[in-house]
Amino acid sequence: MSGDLLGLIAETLSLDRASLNAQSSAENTKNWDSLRQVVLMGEIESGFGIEFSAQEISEANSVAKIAAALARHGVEVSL
Amino acid sequence: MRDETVTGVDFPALRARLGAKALTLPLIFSAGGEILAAAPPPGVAVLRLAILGSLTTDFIVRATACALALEGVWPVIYQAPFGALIPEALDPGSALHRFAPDCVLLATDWRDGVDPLPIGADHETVAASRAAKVALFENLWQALAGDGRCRILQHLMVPPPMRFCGPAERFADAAPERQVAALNAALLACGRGRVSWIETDRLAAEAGFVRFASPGNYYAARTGFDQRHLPDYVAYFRAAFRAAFGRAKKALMLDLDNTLWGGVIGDDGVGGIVLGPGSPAGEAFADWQDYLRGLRARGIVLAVCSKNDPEIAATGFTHPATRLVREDFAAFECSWENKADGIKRVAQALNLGLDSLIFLDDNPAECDLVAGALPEVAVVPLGDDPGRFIERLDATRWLYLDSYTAEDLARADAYAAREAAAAEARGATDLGSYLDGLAMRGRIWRPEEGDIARVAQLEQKTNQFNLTTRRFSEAEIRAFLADDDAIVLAFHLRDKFGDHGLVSTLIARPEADGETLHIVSWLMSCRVFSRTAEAFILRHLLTLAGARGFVRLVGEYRPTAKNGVVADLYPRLGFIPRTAAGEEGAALFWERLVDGGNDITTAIAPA
Repeated sequence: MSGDLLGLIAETLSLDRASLNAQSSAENTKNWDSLRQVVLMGEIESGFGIEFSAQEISEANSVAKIAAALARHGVEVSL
Repeated sequence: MRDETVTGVDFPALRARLGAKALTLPLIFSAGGEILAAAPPPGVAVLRLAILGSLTTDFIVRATACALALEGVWPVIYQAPFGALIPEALDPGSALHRFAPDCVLLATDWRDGVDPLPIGADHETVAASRAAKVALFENLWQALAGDGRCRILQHLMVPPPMRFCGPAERFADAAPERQVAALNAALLACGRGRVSWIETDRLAAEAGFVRFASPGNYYAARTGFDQRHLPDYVAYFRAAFRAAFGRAKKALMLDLDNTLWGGVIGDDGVGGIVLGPGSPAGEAFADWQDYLRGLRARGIVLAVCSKNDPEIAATGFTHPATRLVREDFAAFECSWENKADGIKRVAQALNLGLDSLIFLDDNPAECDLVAGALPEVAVVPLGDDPGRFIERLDATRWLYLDSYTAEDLARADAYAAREAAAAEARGATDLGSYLDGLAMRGRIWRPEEGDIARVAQLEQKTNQFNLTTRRFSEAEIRAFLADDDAIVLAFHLRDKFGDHGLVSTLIARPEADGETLHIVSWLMSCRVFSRTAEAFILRHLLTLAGARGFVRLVGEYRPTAKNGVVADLYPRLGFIPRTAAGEEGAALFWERLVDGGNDITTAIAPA
C-alpha cells in the first residue's frame, strides 16, 4: 500500500486532495465529523495493514495525530 | 452528520452509481449522506423506515438508505435517539410512533440478549432469563406492528467473541454464545410471520466473529460491528426487506455454454462438453447443476436463455453426467437474437414480472447488455470459475425467504405444468375446448390456521391480478377471520397437469346499510390467469351473499402500474359502474345484484 495518507483521507471524506495539508484536522476540515473519524481510521487500518487501539481511533482526529499514531505502529508517512 | 446540502437528487443516476460495481464503504457513506439530506424525488415510491438500536445506528442508517435506493424505493428514515430502543417502541406518544413508519428495523446486538449470569448457572435460571427477553421482544413487536401495517425487521444476534472456558462452554447454558444461540432460536420461533430477520449472525460468521465485533470501534464509537462489513450488511438487509415486502425473486434465466457445462455444445457436441467426473471443472459444473436442481425443488422456476440452436442445445441434457433434464425448465429460449428480448419473451410466456427474474451468464458482455436493457432484472455475472458459481449466486441473497409454504415447494412443478398446458392450448382449436380439456377442479373455503401464511404471502406479492393492492398483513387477515361478518375465501385449483395450490383469495365485508357486500381485496396468482377461475369464485360468492341476505355486491378497482390486467374484470363479470369514472388513476366502484349468477360461465367444476 502506498503511503499517501492525504489521498486516503481525501477519498474517505469525499474531498479534493488539494484541500488537505499537514495542518488539516476535524476542527478545520469539512465532512470530518465523529462518525467519519471512525470510518477514516478503519480505512487507514485497511490501507496500511495495521490496527489502532480504541483510544487512537477516538483521538487521532488530525493529520498530525494520525501520522504520529501510524509512526507508533511502525509506519512512516511523508506529507 | 448531514453535511451535504443536496435538495434534489437524480434518482436513476444515484441508483446506477450504487449498482455499478461492488458497494464500498466510502460510497455507502457519500450516497447514504446524499439520500438522507435530499427530498424524495417525484414519482418514486417512499418507504418510511424507523431505526431503533441500543448502540450507535449512524452507520446502519446510511447502509439502509443505500439498500432501499437499490431496491428502487426512496427511504425517509427516522433514527431513534441512542439507546432508546425500548422506550421509543413502548411509548405510544414517542417520536417514533408519531413518525408512523411503514417498516421498523430493530438493530439488536448480543448486549441486548445476554444476561451476565455465572457460567455455572443452572438450566432453569437461564431459561427464565431467556423467557423474559422473549416476552420483552414480543411486547416490542406488538407495540410496533400497530394495526399490522408496519413491517418489522430485526437483527439476529451475533454471538459475542469472548469466551470463558472454551469447549466446556458447550455444556454451559449460561455461556454467552449459547445464550445468544438459544435466544435467536426462541425469537425465530415466536416471531414467525411477524418479523423478517437480518442474518447478522451469518454475516459475522463469514467475516469472522472477532473481526466483525471490532472492540476498537465499540469502545471508540459504540458501534455493534465494524463498519467495513457494511457492504455485506446491505445485501443481508435487502434480503430481509424483500422477504418482508414480498419481493423475493422467482425464476432463474440461465445461459447454457460455460454456464451449465464447460464448452460450446454447438461446436463440441454432447460428447465434447465438460460435465461430471474427469476434471475439476466438470465436477464443479455437475455440483452447480445439482444446486440448481435443489433450488427448483424449493420452488425456483428454471428457464434457459441461450444463443444456440434449440435442438442442439437440448442434447446437452442427454449427457451421461447431466443432473438437470430438459423437463426441469419451464421455458427454453434458444435463438441467436438479443438476450434481453429473449428474457422478455420468457417473462411473458410464464406470466412473470421482469422484477422477479434473475439472469445468470458467464459472459460479462451479455450481463451488461441485459442489465442495461432491463434494469428490473437482477443480473449475476458468473465469471469463469464454475467452482464459484454457487457462491456468486448465493452472495446476492436474491433468493432468501422468511419462511416457505407448500406452494413455494410445488411452484416449479406448477410452472412446468403450466408450460405443458400452454403447449396443449397451442394445439387446441378453440379456447372453450382447451379449457374443458384441462379437467379443472376448484375448491373454495374459509382459510384455516395453516392457510394464513400463504394468504398473507399472496397479499404481499400479487401485483397483476390484484384489484385493490391493499396488501393485508398476516395480522390483518387474522382480524378478518376473527370477524364473522367478514367473508374470506381461499381458492384451490388442480387440473390434469397438476396441483396449482391455493392460488386466489377474496375478502369482502358488509357496508353500513347491511344490504351491500363490498369486496375489499381479490387477488389471484398469475399462473392461473385465463382459466375462468374468477367466474367460479364469483358464483360461489353470489351464493354465499344470497344465503346471508345481501342484495348487492360492490367491487372496487384501484389502478396501479401493474394491475391493468383486471381493469375490466368487474364489467366482464356483469357489474355496472356505481360511480361515474373519476380522475385518471382514481379508484372505480362497480356493483351487481345478488342473483344466481347464471350469466357467468366457468370451465371449472367443484372438486
